[in-house]
Amino acid sequence: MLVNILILNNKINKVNNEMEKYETMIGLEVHMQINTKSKIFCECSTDFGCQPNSNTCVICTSQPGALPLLNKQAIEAVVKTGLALNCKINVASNFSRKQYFYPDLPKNYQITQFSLPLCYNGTLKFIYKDKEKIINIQRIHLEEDAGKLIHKDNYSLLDLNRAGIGLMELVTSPELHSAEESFIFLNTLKDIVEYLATSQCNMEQGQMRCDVNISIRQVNQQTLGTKVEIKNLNSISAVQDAINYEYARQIKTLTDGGKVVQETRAWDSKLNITKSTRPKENCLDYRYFTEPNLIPLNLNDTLITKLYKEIPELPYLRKQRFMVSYQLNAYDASYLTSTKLLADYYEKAVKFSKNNKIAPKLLANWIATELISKLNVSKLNIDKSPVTSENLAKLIDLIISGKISGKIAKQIFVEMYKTSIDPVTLINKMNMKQISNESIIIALCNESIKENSKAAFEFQTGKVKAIDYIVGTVMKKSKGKANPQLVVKIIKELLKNSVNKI
Amino acid sequence: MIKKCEFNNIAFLSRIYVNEQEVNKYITDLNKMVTAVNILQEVNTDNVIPTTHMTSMRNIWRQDTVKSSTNSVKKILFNNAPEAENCFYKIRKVLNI
Repeated sequence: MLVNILILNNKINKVNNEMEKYETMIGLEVHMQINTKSKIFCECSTDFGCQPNSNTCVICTSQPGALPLLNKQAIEAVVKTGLALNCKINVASNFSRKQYFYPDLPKNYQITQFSLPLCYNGTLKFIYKDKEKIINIQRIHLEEDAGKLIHKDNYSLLDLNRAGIGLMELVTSPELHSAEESFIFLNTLKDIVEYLATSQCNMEQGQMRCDVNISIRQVNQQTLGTKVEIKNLNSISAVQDAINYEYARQIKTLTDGGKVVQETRAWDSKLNITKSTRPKENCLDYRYFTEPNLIPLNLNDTLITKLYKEIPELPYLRKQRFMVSYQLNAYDASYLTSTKLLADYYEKAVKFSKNNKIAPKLLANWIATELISKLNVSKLNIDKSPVTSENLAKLIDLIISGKISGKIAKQIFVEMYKTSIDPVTLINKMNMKQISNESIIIALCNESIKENSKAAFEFQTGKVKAIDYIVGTVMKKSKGKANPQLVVKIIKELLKNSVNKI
Repeated sequence: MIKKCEFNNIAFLSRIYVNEQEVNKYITDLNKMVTAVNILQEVNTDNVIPTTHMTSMRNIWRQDTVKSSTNSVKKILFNNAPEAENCFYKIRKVLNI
């Protein structure tokens, strides 16, 4: 037994030692569906979840003689994304045909960009293990999406609703070194693109997809190892899992004396492994040539400047500003700036509030707990919140000014969420106004002390906690409306006086 | 000059079936074209701006508006397909990659 454990430990140590000898080089190709109402070369809708093949026309089904009509908004979205990622822009650009046969591509070629991508040489900055890391972006180009295939046992079904939706493809240099780094890169990219509103990046709807190029090499080796491409990754966590699997597989191949073969592998999300795919064609040659049916582009400075000015404050900077301006901690600031809609909602609420010292923190707490949990249950986005930022600010102001207790505020909040009515109206309607009238509270306290004479005696003889029973009774009698601080103060005074009388 | 193996690969990629008798004829034809292009290659183009289109027009685009094709057009498109199932085009099984 002991010997077995020793052998096992040795094996593990050996693998760990081997792992330290190698470093991983990862490059990502990220496809993001461009946020336009119509497809890139025709006026069909890009709506998701429609009846199959209902958003199709002569152009996106590639009928002979149909000519593409370029959507200007798609160009603008790619250029804006490029500018936000510090890319250079190819103002003179054009489209190319990439030829291959696959049933989801009815023309037998994809219109894409080849030698002149709209954007090139950009960077994306993110924080990894408390250090700033910069990844180079080689290019971002514009292309059309393919249709969707559903594979059955003996046949396949084709839906061309997705065929022709605009896609931007972003290619990084092979500078990422781990699954974790790739995960942060993709999330940072997703946040930026969502802020720009150039893609919704909804992974469940396939709006963001990723191919991974991964190779390993010995530490200190200058040249790159043999590259393996992994396709079929439709979630950020699948990217992470696939990288971890492939990294271990390649190291094992090399330590076993084998060679890593350059190939395309598909991620099997059920088995959590990558599988070699049969090569589509014996020698892949896309025979690119310039698309003759689309006139070249020559983007002028006015358009580029306009797009540049439209770039909003991006998540990283906004987070820093939230921490300084609203005295939030890094966690809260990160959370609140994770989407533009959420950050906008919060900031609007802060502006509405009359208190700029305590309100920012209280609002952050209320949004992150009460509001978001309710929105999650009703599957609503923050911009569709029944409680407007203005009404939430009013509620927070009522708590700060002591007009209502936190407990009552929660009850009112539930009603606000149900009815969208403002808190002041609701307080009057629900008769929830806090009782701060001393004579009423004194009366309630006297009654409660009489009813809890044992607790009163215990308090007077030194058992401090016994006061809670009396406070509880007062709160019950006032239906939670008595100002709790005032109640405690008055009970203490009353009990002190009665001790003196004794 | 195009070799037989290159020709067969191009034919495969283009999904064009060529029988053995035709191969040599096509290779000869294609090589005549390559010779013609090689003559063009001799021209000095150092001071010529690369051109992809014979027009000086630029930026021909449309605004992002949705206009569905009519139901009758969609019906014609759909009826053109050899096979269908529900609203999908039904096709031969393809490798899922």
